[in-house]
Amino acid sequence: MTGFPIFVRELVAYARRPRTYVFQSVFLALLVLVLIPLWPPSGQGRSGAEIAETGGLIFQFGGYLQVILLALLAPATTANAITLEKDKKTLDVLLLSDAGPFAIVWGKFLSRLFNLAFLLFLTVPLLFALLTLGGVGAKAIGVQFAILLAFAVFGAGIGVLLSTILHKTSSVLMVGYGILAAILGGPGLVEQLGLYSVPPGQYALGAAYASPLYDMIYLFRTSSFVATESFPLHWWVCPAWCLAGGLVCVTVAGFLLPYATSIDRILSFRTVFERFDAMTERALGIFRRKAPEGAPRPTVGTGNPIYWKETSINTIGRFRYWWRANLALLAFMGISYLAFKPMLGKIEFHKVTVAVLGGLIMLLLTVIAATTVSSEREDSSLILLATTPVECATYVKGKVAGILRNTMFLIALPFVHVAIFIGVGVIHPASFFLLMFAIPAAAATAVIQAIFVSLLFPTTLRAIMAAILILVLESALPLICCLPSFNLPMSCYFFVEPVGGLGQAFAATSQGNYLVAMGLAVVFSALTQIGFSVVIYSLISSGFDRYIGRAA
Amino acid sequence: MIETRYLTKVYKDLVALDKLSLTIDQGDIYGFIGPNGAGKTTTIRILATLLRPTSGQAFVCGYSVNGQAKHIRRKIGYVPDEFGVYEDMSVTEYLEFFASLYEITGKDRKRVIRDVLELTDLSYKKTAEVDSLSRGMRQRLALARVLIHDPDVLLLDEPASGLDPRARIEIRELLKELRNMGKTILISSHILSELSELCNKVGIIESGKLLFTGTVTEILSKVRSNEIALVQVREAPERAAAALLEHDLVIRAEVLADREGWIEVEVDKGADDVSFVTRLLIERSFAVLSIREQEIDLEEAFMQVTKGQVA
Ligand SMILES: Nc1ncnc2c1ncn2[C@@H]1O[C@H](COP(=O)(O)OP(=O)(O)OP(=O)(O)O)[C@@H](O)[C@H]1O
Ligand SMILES: [Mg+2]
Repeated sequence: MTGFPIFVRELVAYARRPRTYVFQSVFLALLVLVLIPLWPPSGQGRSGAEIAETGGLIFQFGGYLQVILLALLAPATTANAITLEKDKKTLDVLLLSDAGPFAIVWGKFLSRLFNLAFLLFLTVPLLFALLTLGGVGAKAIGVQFAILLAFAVFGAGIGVLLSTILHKTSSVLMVGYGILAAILGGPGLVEQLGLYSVPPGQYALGAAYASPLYDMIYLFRTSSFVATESFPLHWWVCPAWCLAGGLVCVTVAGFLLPYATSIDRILSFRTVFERFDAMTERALGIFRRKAPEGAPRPTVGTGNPIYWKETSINTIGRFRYWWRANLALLAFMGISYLAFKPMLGKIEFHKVTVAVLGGLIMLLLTVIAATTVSSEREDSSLILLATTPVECATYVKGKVAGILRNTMFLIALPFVHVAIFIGVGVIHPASFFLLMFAIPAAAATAVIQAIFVSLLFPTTLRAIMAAILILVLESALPLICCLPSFNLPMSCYFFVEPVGGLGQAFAATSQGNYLVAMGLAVVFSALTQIGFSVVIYSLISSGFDRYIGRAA
Repeated sequence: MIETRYLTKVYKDLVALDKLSLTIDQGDIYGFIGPNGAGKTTTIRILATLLRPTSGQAFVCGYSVNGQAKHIRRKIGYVPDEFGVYEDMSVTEYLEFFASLYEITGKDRKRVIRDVLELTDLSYKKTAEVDSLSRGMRQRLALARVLIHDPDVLLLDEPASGLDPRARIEIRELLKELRNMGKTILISSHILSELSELCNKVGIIESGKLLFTGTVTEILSKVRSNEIALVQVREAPERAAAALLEHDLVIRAEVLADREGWIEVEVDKGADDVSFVTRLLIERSFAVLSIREQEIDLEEAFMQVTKGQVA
């Protein structure tokens, strides 16, 4: 096999990097940290059945956690497999070598998959420790392992394929995460939104076949379903297609590799945005003020040049009809209300919608902000900036303001949604105020911490991964202390409350108290986030020159 | 304008610059020559306040790179050896962007940009997207960019690398113009013929050590051993050569086989010039058609110096 040298080269490169081991340790530490608190204390008044139940619980949550971690890691391990070669213009050299396109993609895929699989194998001792508690069978462990492994293959395969056809590592990650999120959470979202419901005592087979997460849920919670058929017999459907899907992705990537650079030009976000732009422009022609051809980009003017660059040059900033595109977004939202008409009266629908929007805001802002500096570093234009007298304050303020301006409409979306349904009388007016404290502070924090990370890390991929890791860690804060908006989706979910009963979730608390408590919590949380941002900013400014590659 | 004292840069265990001391005065065009990995880029990056020296001092316009980098940045224009261009920016936008980073605004900015575009012959490309420019145009744009804030000192790291001969000549003309404007220029290059015409001073560096620094004439006279002249006579070059050899100062006289009537004459260092060769030939009634001194070029000097032939 001619791809073998590539496989070996990449594998050796991985093994040499200290980062690989840091990564593996972090992965394990995360698992252990989450699972240890669940671990049952031995002896004293606990029956064997109780301990076994806890064992089962640990096993389940470990499984869910691993699926989610894999969803984050698998595309990331392969996301820059080809994009990096394209960036460095070494792809042509590789293609001209004896290896051939298939050997290249398989070599890269297998070496990276090997590392993922290694991560999974690291957890095996942990799993066997669980066996001692009872409540988990060896078969279940094997099945879970198969599901996880197949999912890793799929995630890595998608990463390789996207890396071949897209231009930027950050685009690969965004699209990849989008696909995996749709697969993992899609069935649940559909069910939450009430588009279909599973009658008690039955399985939503589709969900389990499609999503590894559901496959596991159904596998381990058989007791909560009255078995009309033996679902566990079909556990293999999902891993089977994951495995096949991953391998197909890599093979397709091999076919496409020789044309990679021309494909990524066609598929670039920029082109897509431009088409979308042109479309909305045509659709919203009534708002046109002057001929579209002549519409100039705003000039630098006297303002912050970094802000100008961020808002008129970079991908999102390129929308010449930016506000029109956003109007189209709003229109889309309006139309989607029609589709969800039967749901609009139910608070659960609004909770989920706002939570999803909150999650989207955080992820998108993080990815955009984490890319902003490192992409400048990668195309080596940062060095040009470094020789100008540009100051930290100008740079960071320009970036933050630019990013927030570009995503302003997205950030406004949950407010618009909530405002509408307060008007309709479904959502409690207090929700709006709670969100007013939660969302902007969380968004600003996400941006500034991601900028910090992207100043620290040399490549886009690492910057994005680190920023997301921080986001994940922060989302645990509400569980530890009362800082709800650090986990924006969760706090959105809790803050959107029905008119009738504020704080239904905490039925024991009286309504007034609930509002005061939540209000205090969210204000405290916002203040903490602002303080946190200030600290991060001072960290940035103290090392700014060094981060952008200046000496003094 | 530029001064380094015992400038040293160590990367881990590699000494990239070894106690480099050089002085460049106002209005000098200083050619920085050396083989790959000699430390040219390292030196220039230290002067451009991008790298911190391990030890030693460097001053640009009187400001030290240790601690006064801020002041230096406004005084210098630096063209790195490789640099990215922003995607999706037009030439004018690119220049406007950098102008605003130097806080040049309003009418000034318009005027300055027009001027630098004219100077670099890029006016006709001002609405083109930066990433659609050819390599030569990009180099010129890079020069336009560093001229925006009218810096006193230009630090150019191989500005002509990767250019075709024509573009190279264009860049050279541009640099000459800048020289006439009184700028101090430090320029590194491998292409020596380019430098010999342009520079009044050169520095030769190898393995982080400055082997030579001085004017071009100094280096040429230093490496030169004997002068070589080429003489063309109308007939009987063999006899003419024999006649020349009788002279004390002529060490060697050879008829060139491939060129009709030409003789290569090696003259001892002691001679003031080669004019006596003509005189001698005319005295012996040979018809001299032409005579010229063969230049020793920088290339040869470079080869000799870097081989350690100059003490
Ligand atoms: N960041 C770095 N880390 C370690 N070594 C470096 C680094 N940058 C340069 N070097 C080493 O320092 C030495 C001098 O490099 P430098 O780039 O200054 O050479 P140069 O004269 O510009 O060469 P070229 O003509 O190839 O551009 C080289 O041996 C190089 O390998
Ligand atoms: Mg160099």
